[in-house]
Amino acid sequence: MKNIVEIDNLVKRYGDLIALDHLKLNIREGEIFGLLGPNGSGKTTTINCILSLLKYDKGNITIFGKDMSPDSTDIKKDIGVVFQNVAVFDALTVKENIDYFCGLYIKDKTKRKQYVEEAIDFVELNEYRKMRPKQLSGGLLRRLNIACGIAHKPKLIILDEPTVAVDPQSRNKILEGIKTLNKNGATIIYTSHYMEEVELICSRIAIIDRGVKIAEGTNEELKNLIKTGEKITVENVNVTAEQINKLKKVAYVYEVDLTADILKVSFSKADNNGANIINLINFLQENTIIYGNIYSVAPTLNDVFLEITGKEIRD
Amino acid sequence: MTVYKGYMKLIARNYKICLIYMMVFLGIAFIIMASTKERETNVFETHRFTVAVYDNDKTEYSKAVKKYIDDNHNIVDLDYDVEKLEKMMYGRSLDYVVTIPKGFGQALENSDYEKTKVDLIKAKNVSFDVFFGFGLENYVNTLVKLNDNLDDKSTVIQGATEIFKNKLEVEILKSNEASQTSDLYYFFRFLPMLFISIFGYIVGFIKITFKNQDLQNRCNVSGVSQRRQFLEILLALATFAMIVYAIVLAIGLTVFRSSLDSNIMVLHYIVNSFICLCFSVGIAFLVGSITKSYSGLNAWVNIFSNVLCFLGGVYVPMSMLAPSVRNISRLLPTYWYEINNNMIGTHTSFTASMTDTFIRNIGLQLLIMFVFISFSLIISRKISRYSK
Amino acid sequence: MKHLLKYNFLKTIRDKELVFWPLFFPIVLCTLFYFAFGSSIGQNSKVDIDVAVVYEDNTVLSEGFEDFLERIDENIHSKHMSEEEAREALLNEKVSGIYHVGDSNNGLLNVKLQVLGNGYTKTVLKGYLDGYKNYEGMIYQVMKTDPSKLPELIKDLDKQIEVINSKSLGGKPLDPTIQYFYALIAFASLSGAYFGTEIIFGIQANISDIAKRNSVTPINRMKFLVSSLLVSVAIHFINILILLSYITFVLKINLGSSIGYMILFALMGSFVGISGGMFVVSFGKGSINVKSAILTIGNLLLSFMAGLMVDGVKAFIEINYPIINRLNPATLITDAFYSIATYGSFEKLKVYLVTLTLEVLFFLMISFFNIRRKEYDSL
Repeated sequence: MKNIVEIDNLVKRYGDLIALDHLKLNIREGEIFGLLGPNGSGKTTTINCILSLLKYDKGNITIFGKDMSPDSTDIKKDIGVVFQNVAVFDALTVKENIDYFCGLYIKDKTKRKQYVEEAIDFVELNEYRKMRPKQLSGGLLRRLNIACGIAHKPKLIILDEPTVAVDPQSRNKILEGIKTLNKNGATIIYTSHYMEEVELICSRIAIIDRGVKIAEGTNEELKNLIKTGEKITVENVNVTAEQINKLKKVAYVYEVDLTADILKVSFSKADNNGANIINLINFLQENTIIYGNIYSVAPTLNDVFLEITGKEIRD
Repeated sequence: MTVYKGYMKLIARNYKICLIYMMVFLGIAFIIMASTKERETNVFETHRFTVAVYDNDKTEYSKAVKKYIDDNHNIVDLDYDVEKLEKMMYGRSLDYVVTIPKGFGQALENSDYEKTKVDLIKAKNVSFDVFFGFGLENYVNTLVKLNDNLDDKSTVIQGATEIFKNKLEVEILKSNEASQTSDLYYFFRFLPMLFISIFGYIVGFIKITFKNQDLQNRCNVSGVSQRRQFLEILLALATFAMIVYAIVLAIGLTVFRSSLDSNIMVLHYIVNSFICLCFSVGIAFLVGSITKSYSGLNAWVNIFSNVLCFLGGVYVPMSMLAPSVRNISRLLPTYWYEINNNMIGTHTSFTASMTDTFIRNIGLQLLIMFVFISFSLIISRKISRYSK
Repeated sequence: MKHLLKYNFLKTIRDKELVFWPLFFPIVLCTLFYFAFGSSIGQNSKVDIDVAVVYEDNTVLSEGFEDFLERIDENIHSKHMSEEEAREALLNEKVSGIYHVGDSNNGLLNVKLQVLGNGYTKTVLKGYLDGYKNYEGMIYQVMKTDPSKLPELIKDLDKQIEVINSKSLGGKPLDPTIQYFYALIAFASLSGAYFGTEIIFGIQANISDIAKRNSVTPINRMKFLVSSLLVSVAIHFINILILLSYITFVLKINLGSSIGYMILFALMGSFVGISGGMFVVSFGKGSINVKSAILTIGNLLLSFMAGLMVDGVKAFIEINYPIINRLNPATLITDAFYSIATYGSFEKLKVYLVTLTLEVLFFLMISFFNIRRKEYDSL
């Protein structure tokens, strides 16, 4: 699969602050590439550099095999962008906004009309087509923002945190929509600090922190990078320190955390047969430890981030 | 006092804009003062018009007329360029053009009254033509009468000169009128323009910042009542106003310190100008309540400032306004402010009845200020209740 | 381009705040000027002066003096009063002065003036008394040299011959109060600066999100700029035309008969205002609040120097710093309208047209230069 976007050795400084530190990314054709990282990690800076909005100090960016510059109109016509901040005209209606931005890419009136209708259907804003942005809720506004960015059916779509401050229903619709766009042939770069979204829709993920790429791969590949295979949580439990020490000796247990009456036990290997949880239950029973709920979760990207950087993505 | 502190912080953070506005409007005020004072003089001994004289006759009589004009007014030496003269008259840098036609002197000597005439062109809206037209007419008539009644024609011009040299002494009944209007009068006269503009723009600018709907909603659902919020905002504006007032007053009294003598009623100026400050803040508050954008702010501040200053007699003397307009002026605080300012500027002390009038006018200014603040309170409530 | 023009027009015309205020407030101010000065436009300002006349006991020849007063100025209102009444009226400023009239032994009345202090009205009263006193001087002069002529002199003493021909210079002399309207037209024109702000907003990606979005499209930013500029000029130009129509047809103030030139300068005024706004906003990233404040204060200052608030300022600047008047776009616009009304010929207007055009080109060039950068150091 060929690379649609190639970022090589990208460096961006703001004075003494290094926002991007020799970043290297390759985005393949047809994938949904996730760029995950906490606030201030350099996600938006990366996007702005890709789009030639920001000057960078070092490195090279190519899109569709060509060097990207502010004057690359042949590249720009195949890119759609949904910025983090809603960028629509308050004085135009929903339909007019979409038509305006679509018209900057598509000259053919008939084709454009069709695309605009499809975009309105896609984001399900039919009932709101004659309303102005000020009359829309936050979720609907975000959908409009997306429609304006993708109406012209671009080959490469960049979405910079499109679900910020969006209600769960709208968020689901947005994520479903993105998957549909990808199915229809678009390559997508998706940035977010919500790991659940990235895990849900992205085929490949890069995790960045302070301008540095700290990990890259599929969901599975990233989780295999870390020690944690399984995390089992026991609620409403009363455990002594001595018992915790004994628990640490159970097979594959590498970390035990007790906060109030919640016990979290990390196992170093993912359990396919349920052996870890059985071992833990047995331990609790043998030591006559009373407990409430017990459940197992697979490691998340947050765990990946935590192990690599020592902090949560949401910190 | 959270709202108060919030507003003060916002004002403090935008101190650059505050300074720009203050300096620019102070500059505007000083320029207006300089140009107005040159034109408006209250010292009757020294009022002199600017006149261009063209003597096409060049006889003794025509020269005498020109000398009379020169002795009493300012003659400017200009080529007879109609366009230039017209423009100067339009721009009020030339008041009269006098042309003495050829044959004037001969006609006067021969008592040919039909031809004893000078051409006079007066700039439009020249006030008090008696200073010039009447005086010129008087002088030429004196020459005519002396010419008719004196056999020795050589003594006519000399006789006229002697007559016009005698200045009448006028008895001044009381001395509580100021002998000369001080610079401070002009400084305080234009203070309403300064205050209304500064506070209108700055307060409006800050209120626009607070117009963000989510911010407003957050304030409305806070534990602080709307009335309390309103009062704290007013207090913040009052604090800011006092700082500006102190700076402006310090600048004015420093620049015009040479005007400060025992004859100047400085305390009255300060009291009157403090009331001006109060109603200016009230107006600014009203403007801030009704504007949502910068173009709107620009419009409203200009409307309020110009209406109040024109109709209140700040920019132009009240005498230039139609009587029907002056009736409307009575509804404006600037009108009463200027009445007080004129009283202070033209007297060295107040009689008891003048003091009563002064206090009454202050009361009127405060009353109108409360009306403005009430309006803005009503408008603010309506906007917050019915906004999205 | 049509697509850009269409949507630029729609979004601009629907922005009530942007379009409405530059139209509304000049109309309000015009109306204010009209009612404040309108009744006096074309007329001389006159002031009524009240004066008390007190006759000393046994004064006989009183009619001559009051005739004299009535004859010279219809705005002098004289009232007979007793000494006490007159003093009271003077102290309460119900009259501007007191003429004390008594007999003298030279065939004339002996008149003295009593006032409270200085002021125009007191000077007027003094001026008229000077005129009356000149009679005494004439009698003395004739008595000195030719006493036989005295009876004849006294007989014709207060007969005045008309010695003044009132004339005009030619051209169409204008009432100076009309310059307030010209200054207002200039102020309204320069208010187009807010349109200029919106134009730059739509293009500078480091200022607004819309500009960011526009910047990533394949459309050349010059197209964005030109289409926004054309739409803004068209809308603002219509605003100014509405203002001119209001002044001419509703307030019935004659701005001149050369409608073509008025339209031309209305267009130039719109261009100058909008390009001036673009010029200011295109500099640096800075806070939009600060830039808007600078625009507001700048427009006010330029219009003030062209005579918006007080008419003497323009003459003051002409005398002391004439270069400002040569360059101030507000002054150029007011002078152009003055020339249109007075002369109506293109010859007089050329210099204003050329200067304004150069200023527009300068503003646009610098604006283009400032916004040419398509990549930013920070966003």
